Amino acid sequence: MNPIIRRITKNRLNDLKGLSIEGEIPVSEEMLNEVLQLFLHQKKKPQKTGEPEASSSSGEDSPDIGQILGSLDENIVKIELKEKQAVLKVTVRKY
Amino acid sequence: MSADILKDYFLEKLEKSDLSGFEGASLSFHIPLQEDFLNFVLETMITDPERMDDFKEIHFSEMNNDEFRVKIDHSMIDREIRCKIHDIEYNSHADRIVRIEFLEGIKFYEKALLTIFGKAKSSWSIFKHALKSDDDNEEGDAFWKLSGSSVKINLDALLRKQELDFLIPLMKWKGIITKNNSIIIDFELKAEQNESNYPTNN
Repeated sequence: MNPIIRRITKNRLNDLKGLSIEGEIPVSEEMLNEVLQLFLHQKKKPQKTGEPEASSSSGEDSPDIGQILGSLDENIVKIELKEKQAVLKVTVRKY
Repeated sequence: MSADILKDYFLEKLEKSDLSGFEGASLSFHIPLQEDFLNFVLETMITDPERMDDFKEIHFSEMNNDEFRVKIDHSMIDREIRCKIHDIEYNSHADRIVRIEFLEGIKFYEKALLTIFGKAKSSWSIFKHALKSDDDNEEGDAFWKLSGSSVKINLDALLRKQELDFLIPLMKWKGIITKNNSIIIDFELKAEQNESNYPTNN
């Protein structure tokens, strides 16, 4: 790992005391649904011949959500917002 | 499921300057770099043979009231210089520029030498490597320009060098100052379609 990143992580951001990130991100209903569809219908990367099947990083017992979703004949999830917009409010501070 | 999908999705939109779906987004960043951390970063860079190993020392101190002292030990100059950071301004191409003026520590003839030194590119170009720039088009889009009495850093050219061009119209620089023995960088990211990249004055 880069020594600068390592130090920032190890010192739990104490080198950046006073840091703040604040604001709002309005996200349209259309975009939310676009992103949702990307998650639902993401394709697994094709596996090279002879390559062992990669196990899930979260453990052998973890279900492969992508595989399960891909096995369904129909999966429709849609977000509906009343004002057609979600607003993400962001406040990040290091004291 | 991977967060890369989300990252790729937004990156593609930003690279196409397509802000639809999150127009009006606004994030303010206030990033203080404390003396100890800043000097650690510089020390890390000068000990890297691929970056700034022609420097023996660069050490910042007394960072207050938009001024700072920097001790530079380099084959061309071994001196402590007092500098002042000026407001962000524009060049003739409407790029945002921050000028750092040398207040003390450099004599008249050294200023003249530095001007020549800057024009000749010399080993100061190692700064570019330190910031992961490439060597293509060095003269045409250099992000810094050294003259006898100051160094001008082109913030937009720096973003272009990092292949972050798409951030230029979104970035509103609020200021770079020194206070409480730290360098403080303030900027906003605003997703506003068709807005120019001129910063707000403060």
